[in-house]
Amino acid sequence: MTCAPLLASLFSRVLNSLAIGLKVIWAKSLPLKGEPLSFLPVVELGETFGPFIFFQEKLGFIPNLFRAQTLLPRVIEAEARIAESVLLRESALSRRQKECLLLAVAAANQNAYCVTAHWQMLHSLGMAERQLRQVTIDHRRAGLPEADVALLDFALKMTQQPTWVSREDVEGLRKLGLNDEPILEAVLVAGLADFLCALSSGLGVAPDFRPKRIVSARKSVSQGPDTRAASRVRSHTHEKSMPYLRALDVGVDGFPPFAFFRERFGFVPNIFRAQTLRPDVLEAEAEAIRTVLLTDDVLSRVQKEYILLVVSAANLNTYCLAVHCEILQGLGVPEDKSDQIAMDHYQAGLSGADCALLDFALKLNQRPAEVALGDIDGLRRHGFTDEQILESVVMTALTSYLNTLQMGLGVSPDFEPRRVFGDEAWSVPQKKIQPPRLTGPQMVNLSSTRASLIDGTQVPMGAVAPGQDADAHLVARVKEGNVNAYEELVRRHHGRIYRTLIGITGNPEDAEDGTQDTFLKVFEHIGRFRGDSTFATWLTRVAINEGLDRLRERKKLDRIDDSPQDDEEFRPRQVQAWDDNPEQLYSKSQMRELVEQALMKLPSMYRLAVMLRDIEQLSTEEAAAALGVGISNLKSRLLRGRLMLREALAPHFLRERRKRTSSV
Amino acid sequence: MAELANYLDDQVAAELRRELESHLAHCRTCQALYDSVRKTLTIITDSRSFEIPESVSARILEKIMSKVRQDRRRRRPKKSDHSGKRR
Repeated sequence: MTCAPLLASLFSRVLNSLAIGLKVIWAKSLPLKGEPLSFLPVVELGETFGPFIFFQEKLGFIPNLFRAQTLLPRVIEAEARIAESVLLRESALSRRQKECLLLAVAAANQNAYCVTAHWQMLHSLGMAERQLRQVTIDHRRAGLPEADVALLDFALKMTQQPTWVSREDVEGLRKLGLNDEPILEAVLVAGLADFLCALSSGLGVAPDFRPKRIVSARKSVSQGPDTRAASRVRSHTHEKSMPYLRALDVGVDGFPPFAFFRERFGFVPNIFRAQTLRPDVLEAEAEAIRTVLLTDDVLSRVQKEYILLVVSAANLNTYCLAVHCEILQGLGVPEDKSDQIAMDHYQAGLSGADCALLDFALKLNQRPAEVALGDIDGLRRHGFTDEQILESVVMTALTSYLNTLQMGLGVSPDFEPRRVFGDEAWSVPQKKIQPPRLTGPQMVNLSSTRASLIDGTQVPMGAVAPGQDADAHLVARVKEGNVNAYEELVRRHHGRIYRTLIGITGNPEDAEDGTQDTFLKVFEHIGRFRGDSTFATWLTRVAINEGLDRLRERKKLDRIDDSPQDDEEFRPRQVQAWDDNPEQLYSKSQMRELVEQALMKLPSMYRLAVMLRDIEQLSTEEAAAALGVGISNLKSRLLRGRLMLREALAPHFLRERRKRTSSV
Repeated sequence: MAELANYLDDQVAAELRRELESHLAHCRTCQALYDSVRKTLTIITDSRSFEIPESVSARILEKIMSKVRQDRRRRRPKKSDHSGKRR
């Protein structure tokens, strides 16, 4: 079934959206006098700081976004150059067209800071409030010229569904009379929009103007996913092809930015070769790369490359992944390690601080609206300075910019792709990256978490703020020697631990014995539990290890071939409609039996993910922490597990079934 | 597709939801699949699967606590590194 990857992504997105519901975002209110401008402190740079003079002249004010970065003036300088060449300089697209693109992307990203800023800019350029509102809600009904609508479609696709962008999109724009210069500019502006959104979310910048209410009801930006589109994704990521836009033949020696790239990277990345229509932008980008990425005085060069790597991987950007694996190799980081970091940085032997840094970058990239002061404080506790935190935000934003550019330009890889994100992007991590002893679908990979488990240190994912662990006071009493408090903890959690162990071992006796041993071990080592995660998460991890040890004893771990390995296996094959009220078809006990049987058919790595998340109702973070895997890894397992479960249950719940049974 | 499948349970922008809903309104296959995944989740969540039987629960609790108490009588339990010294 060719559109299966598409369908899977569709499901997860709809399922997610159901859980969240329609959200109306209000920007953080304007900072009152004395209230902080952003998460980070601000230093006085004086009125003569070049970029500030420039913004004052060009925009009539200095945006808070840039004021918030005064800890690193060099970064503001680089950003000002990008903003100047991409946005403010006279070029093929008008300022108004570019601001429209920025506004629409900001609204799609639900970024209140950027919506407010671009709204205000467009307003001062003479656009009416009503039309502005319409651009944020549905640009197709905003009374814009056809070509502008198409450019907005294109920009939204680049930023919201980047892997779906194809040559056909660019051809479509050309048919409307747009030539390569404005198309390149649209790509650059979309990249800039993503850059500014990430930056403002990561820094928690207060709006410059009275915030606008975003009620986004955007219509589909593409023709709607179809089979053809699904096959396009694959060709898009698997094949080498020419970039979408015309490029000028620019000699490396005669063009300083290219000479710079060759000197620093040993080659000129194709992503820059594809932008030769705008040498001024290339100069600004080279400058940004030099001052943001290639510096070593705040975050180390390698740390910054790690950020590029994980964020590009999260964005499924094969191109950027390949480039930065290659660059990291030049910096002495072996390929395997880079692969592992891209897949799951927790399994890559990085320091706790570096893991926290990458967690932060990923959160900013994936869930920008959730980034809060607590995340910044978390990094501070890991010993990061405010300058380093600022630089990590800028690096994440820069990665987003480069990723968007690459997808929009259709740049082919400079090297063999390290990871090709096609079908496997929504399945499990590649096998070769998992530690050798624990490969195959029967396994829950916990090897690297074992040591930390014993000494009571936890991965920070699923970490809790003090006072948020419902068991904390009981744990404290147990540490003081109170056995009754421990009894209460056992009462609270033994059912869940038992189920977790059934999930792993598939066997009630093992689960019963394992539950006992888990609680005895936890009692013995409770002095080492430091509360970095909740007690429940820690307990679950002990139980999971207990279950794995039991499996190993039974040598079940060697059996890796009796479960679906192939992607084909779990693609939805059953597509008939289900009964309207499936729960009425069976009694409660029958239902339970059906589910238990279906769950037992799943390989344990998927079963456990589904059980922790859907039966135990742990949060994604808690479930990931309990399994000792990254959040994206957990989510892949969960998606696949849910789809497999659906497939296994389908025969019992089809609509025809009721007809059949009632007609009998 | 950055917000793609493996980011299950992420926040999803409202417009994406609209977009998907409008697709679902037209595509019967996706509709059937989506509907059944949703029902699957409800079924699993409500199934009380692998609930621990009452007898097993009592037995486990009793065994754990008797060992813990026995252990404690035999030697003071290992205390946390912090509280241990104070006592």
